[in-house]
Amino acid sequence: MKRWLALVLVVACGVAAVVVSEWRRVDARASPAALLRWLAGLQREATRLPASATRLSDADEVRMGNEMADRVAASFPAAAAGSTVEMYVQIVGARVAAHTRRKLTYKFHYLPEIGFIDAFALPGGHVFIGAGLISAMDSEDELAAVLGHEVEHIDHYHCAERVQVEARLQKIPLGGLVNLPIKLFQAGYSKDQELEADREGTRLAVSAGYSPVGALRMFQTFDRLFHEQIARDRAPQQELSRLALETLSGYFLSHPPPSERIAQISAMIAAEHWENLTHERDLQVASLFHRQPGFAVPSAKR
Amino acid sequence: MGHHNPVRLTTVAVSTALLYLCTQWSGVSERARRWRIPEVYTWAGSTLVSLLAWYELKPIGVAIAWMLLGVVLFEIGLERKSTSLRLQAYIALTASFVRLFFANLGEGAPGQIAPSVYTTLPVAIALFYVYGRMKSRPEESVRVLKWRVRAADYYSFMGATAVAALMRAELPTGWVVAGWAGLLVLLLALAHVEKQAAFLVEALILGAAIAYRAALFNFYDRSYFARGLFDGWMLPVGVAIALLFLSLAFAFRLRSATPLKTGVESGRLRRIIAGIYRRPEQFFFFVPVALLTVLLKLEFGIGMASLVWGMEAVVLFLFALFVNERSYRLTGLALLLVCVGKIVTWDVWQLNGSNRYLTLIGVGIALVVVSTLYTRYKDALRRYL
Repeated sequence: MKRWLALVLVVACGVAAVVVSEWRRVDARASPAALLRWLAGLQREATRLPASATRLSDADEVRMGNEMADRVAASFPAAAAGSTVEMYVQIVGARVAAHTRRKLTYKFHYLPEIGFIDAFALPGGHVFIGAGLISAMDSEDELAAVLGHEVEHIDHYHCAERVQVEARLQKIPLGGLVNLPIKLFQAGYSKDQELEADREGTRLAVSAGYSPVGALRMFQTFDRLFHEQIARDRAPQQELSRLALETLSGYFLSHPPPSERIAQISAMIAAEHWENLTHERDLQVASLFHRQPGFAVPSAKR
Repeated sequence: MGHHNPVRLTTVAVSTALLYLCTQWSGVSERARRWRIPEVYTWAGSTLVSLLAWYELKPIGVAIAWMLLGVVLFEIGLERKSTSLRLQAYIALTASFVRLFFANLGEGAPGQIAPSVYTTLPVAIALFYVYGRMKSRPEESVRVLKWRVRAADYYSFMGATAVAALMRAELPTGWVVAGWAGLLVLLLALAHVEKQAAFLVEALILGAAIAYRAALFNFYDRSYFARGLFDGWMLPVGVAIALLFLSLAFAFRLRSATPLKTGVESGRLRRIIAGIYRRPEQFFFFVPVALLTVLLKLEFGIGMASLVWGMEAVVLFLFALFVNERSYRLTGLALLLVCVGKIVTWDVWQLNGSNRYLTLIGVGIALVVVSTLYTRYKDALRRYL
């Protein structure tokens, strides 16, 4: 009797779970992302202690970052230095970076590639943002949130640690580190580092007088884009090969899902009593993107 | 539910039912039985059910469907004494467990119970259920003793891993150690009540995982600009330490209940593992003590470390007297000696006025307390030495 009761309970729990997941239409597709995040986290945990004990000096970090930034500028043929958008990015960036803990000279660069929907930071204080990402924004507060996020990757030593880890893994001496591939800094950081940059970056933006709603809406845009990419596999073997490929190629692609980032910022707004900070400033360069031929601004509405 | 296809569902379900029914008829002739024709039919039927679940359900529900298939096949396999059906069940359950890590544990939905919780827990419960059923059938174990025992333990390990992974996925990152410590206490309690060594081994592995994560994540992977005393990263370690000390209540009882297996003692590493297995109360004491010592240093700084370590040493000494454990008492004394050494070599020269006085007075009191206790319990202590 006891055995049958246990069996019925197990089966009932299973059936209920299937019914609820179908009823709630949970549309997550199979992905190695969670497993990879854990593995990356394990690796990071094992390297953080030695990394903090053998920290790069600020001077070394800045020198290395400057050389890397020159390489990035050279790799983008359409020069943006001195453009209206670059100056605008620098003004917003300087405002946001005014409250960082590490007093580095932060430099903000604009990459005028409409297909570049990304932003990244290099060691020593260089932040790059692509035209594709700015075109997905419709307020200055969103730009401030993105720049704040990238600044915090530098402020919290995430970039410096990546340099140190790569130096150790590839056995590269300090002088050779400037040749590290820039893709390493574009690939994203561990889940905890990304969440930390979200949190502290939003705090920076709010300290500079921006609304935290900018960060929230930026992540909502990411969430929309993220869900647009999800397509159901058509056969088990397709899922299996995709999982194998993503497992092999996605080791460092460890951004947390946008839903988790939205939840964190929402909780932060409530905890810090920022509910009244809802006024957003217009993105002053929005008209430049609207005028670009053949490009439509994504439909991120307030 | 756009992925549903009624024609596919009906045709495959009918075909599967027919395949399972065919096992009854196909086994009538001796030749068919010899060629294992009924088993071929059941394998084909189970494969079809697994594929049907993949096509008809949302990705997050597939693991549960495979688990249900595994449990049903397992029960029928036991009832009919069919090795083939049980083997299919083991494969389905293992596949269900593996799939959790790819399809279930990454999905969170803020503001409601996360799908990973209500889809992973049933699988974990089913794995423990299978473990319990395999353990409670000694006649099954006798036939191929070694393999059966290992298989049962394997499902227990998978169940515990699923729960630990769920905690890792769903708890706030800093609180994972506290969640794992809670699970560890539960596993030790089960090991004590059920007299099952598998739970003790799982608890030991979990203890090592707690030590790793607390030391390298909570202590050193937190923000460089962490705020305040016992902020979001340190409080969970405090809770984990308290739970680990609580686990000693079961660890002491397991000490005599876990005899050392012969043949395990060759090699230094194996001897260490066998020693930990035989004396789990040592492991579950030294892990929290080490964590507490580092935690106190990180929270109070190197300057005040002598004072708080002195207090910790007195508490450890008193605890050692309470449980009559020599190694614990020596740990308390060693920590007190470290405090004295640090005072002489560092505190006296480096600390500022008030901190220096506080440290000297505090450690002085600790020394007086310990020496008084030594004098009072001199005879008893001599017996433990």
